[in-house]
Amino acid sequence: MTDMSAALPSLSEQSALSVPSVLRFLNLALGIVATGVQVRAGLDALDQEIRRQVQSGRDPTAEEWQTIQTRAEAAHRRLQDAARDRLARGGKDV
Amino acid sequence: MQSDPNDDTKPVWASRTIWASVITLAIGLLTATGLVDLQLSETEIQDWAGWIVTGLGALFGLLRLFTKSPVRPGRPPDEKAINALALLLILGLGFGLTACSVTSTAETPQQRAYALIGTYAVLAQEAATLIENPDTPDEVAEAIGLADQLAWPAITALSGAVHRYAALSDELAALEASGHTPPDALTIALSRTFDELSVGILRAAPALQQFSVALNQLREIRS
Repeated sequence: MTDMSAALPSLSEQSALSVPSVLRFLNLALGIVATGVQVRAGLDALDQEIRRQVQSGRDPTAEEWQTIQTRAEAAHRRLQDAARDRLARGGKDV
Repeated sequence: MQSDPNDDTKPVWASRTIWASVITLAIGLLTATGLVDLQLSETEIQDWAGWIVTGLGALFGLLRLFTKSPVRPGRPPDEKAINALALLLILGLGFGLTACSVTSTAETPQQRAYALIGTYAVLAQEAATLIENPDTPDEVAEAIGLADQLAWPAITALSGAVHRYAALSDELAALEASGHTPPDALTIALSRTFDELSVGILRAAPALQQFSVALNQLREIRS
């Protein structure tokens, strides 16, 4: 009969890999990929919106302009706030 | 040597969480790049990843019956490697974005401007989510923040040009609708703002592309 215990590594034999560090990287990579998927979905939606404008032979309405500009400003503010927070937490001058 | 029972380290290959993450990541990458479209939600992908990991676990269990020595993976990626890889992935995302630009759909200058501002909004919103992720390295967060600062002036300039052009266009349309001949000054101003809008578009498009280029330069400066 095969000695199964010989095939199993003891804890000391196992390399001291830091699972949390690998998980942290994978979480970050997943976050980036999820971001890519979100960006793609956002751009697809925008593309559809512009296609509709082209098909109806019109330019964006005042309401559409208002919405897209508000979105851009909000995104810029959120991004800069988040970057500032990170710098502040890292102890760097803001 | 007696093993430490409190030792919480284990080989990477033995972590089910890591395998599930790797599979979810692979499926996510394939979906994001458009290579496959499984029409699955994020939860469904994670469920599938769980099942695949369970299957792989059973397979590894069987394989271990025929092996004598444990699998010895390499060293875990250190902080520098993680940062470099994160930047690489973000750069890939930037180039991917450039490739699937929606501006080609637009026909008129106003539609083009709308596409550029919209693209910026989508990109900045998701970049903010990346920065808010505590696992994103500080260097990456800083690089994204700086790259955004470079792109933002072109976007605001374009927004201003759009506003001025739209206001003058409306004024001209209202005059024409009421049967009045528009004054030359208005026609000239409209032509000028049209040029301004065109220049704004020409500047905003590369500014968005520079988002990824700036990240690359920052990475080179730091390495």
